[in-house]
Amino acid sequence: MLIPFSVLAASGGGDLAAYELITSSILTSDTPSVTFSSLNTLAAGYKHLQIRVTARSSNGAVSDSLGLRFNGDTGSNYAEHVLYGNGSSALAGSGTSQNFMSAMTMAGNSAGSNIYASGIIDILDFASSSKTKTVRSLSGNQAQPFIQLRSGLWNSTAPVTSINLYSANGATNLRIYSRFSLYGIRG
Amino acid sequence: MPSALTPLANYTIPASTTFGSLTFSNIPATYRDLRIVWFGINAGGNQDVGFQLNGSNGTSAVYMAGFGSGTGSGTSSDILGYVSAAGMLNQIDIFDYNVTDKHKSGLIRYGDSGNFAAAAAFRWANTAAITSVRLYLGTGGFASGSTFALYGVSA
Repeated sequence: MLIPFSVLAASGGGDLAAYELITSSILTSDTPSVTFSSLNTLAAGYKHLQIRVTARSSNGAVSDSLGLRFNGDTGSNYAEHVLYGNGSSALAGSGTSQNFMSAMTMAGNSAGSNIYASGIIDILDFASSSKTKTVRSLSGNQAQPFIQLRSGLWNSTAPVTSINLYSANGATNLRIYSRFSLYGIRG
Repeated sequence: MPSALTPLANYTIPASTTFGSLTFSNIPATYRDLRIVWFGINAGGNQDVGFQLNGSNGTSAVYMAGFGSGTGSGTSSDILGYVSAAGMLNQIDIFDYNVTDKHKSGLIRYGDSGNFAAAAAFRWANTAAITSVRLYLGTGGFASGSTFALYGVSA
């Protein structure tokens, strides 16, 4: 069955404006990190945030971890859990008292040419001043291969005003063409 | 501010009708990502669903699935969905479909109450922009009541 696109395009519709693009960063050169800042104004009015990612780093391994920090906090205030499949087994892991959380896996520089990992990161109740902040993500890196379901905690009730994303495995860059798009979700 | 999620097409298979495949074609390059939400019914029961981008095979996937109290992981080629007699809900996110600077990758979730819940990541080793997506069954077909919706995601 071949769907006639133009006909079916007319049958769409509905109010989906609860999900809006805030800003997008598409790297035009290798870059140490990407920071979404001034979220108290830029993302005012939204309940949750979502980041859609395609990423690769200059780390020499096949895969790398995309580190995430809120509000520039480099203290040991992060924790995480992960379920992942590696193509043969389903496994789990966790970490506490970390100085960052791993938001997702991404491709490293030993991955084949043109391979970028993709992921969707949700940041819940980011503007709350009464809740510690929780994050969940689903990501995959076909170079490894990995499929990962992650949860993360930032043990702070401060509203999130900035998000910093970077290669967690040393002084390496996010590679050109990596893309980080920030969306707001109304609640 | 306009929605970042735009409905592009949808289709429900009518009564007394079965299709062996379904294709979204002539997809415009207007958006950055694609999302397909579909509910697949196959009268013959559980079955993998094949996946072609631009009419080509070559998609590799790694999946993680929960089966009742157990879990597993594996790999597959050109299999990126599932149908069941009761109906299986599937969601496919395809990233950066409109650019030519990277292989195409994406994420999949599917499951129903009677079988399992699963997540998968896939890569199509091709930098071409995607203009069509085809879902197909090797045997049987998508039965009446199966629904398919395509969305564009702005970035």
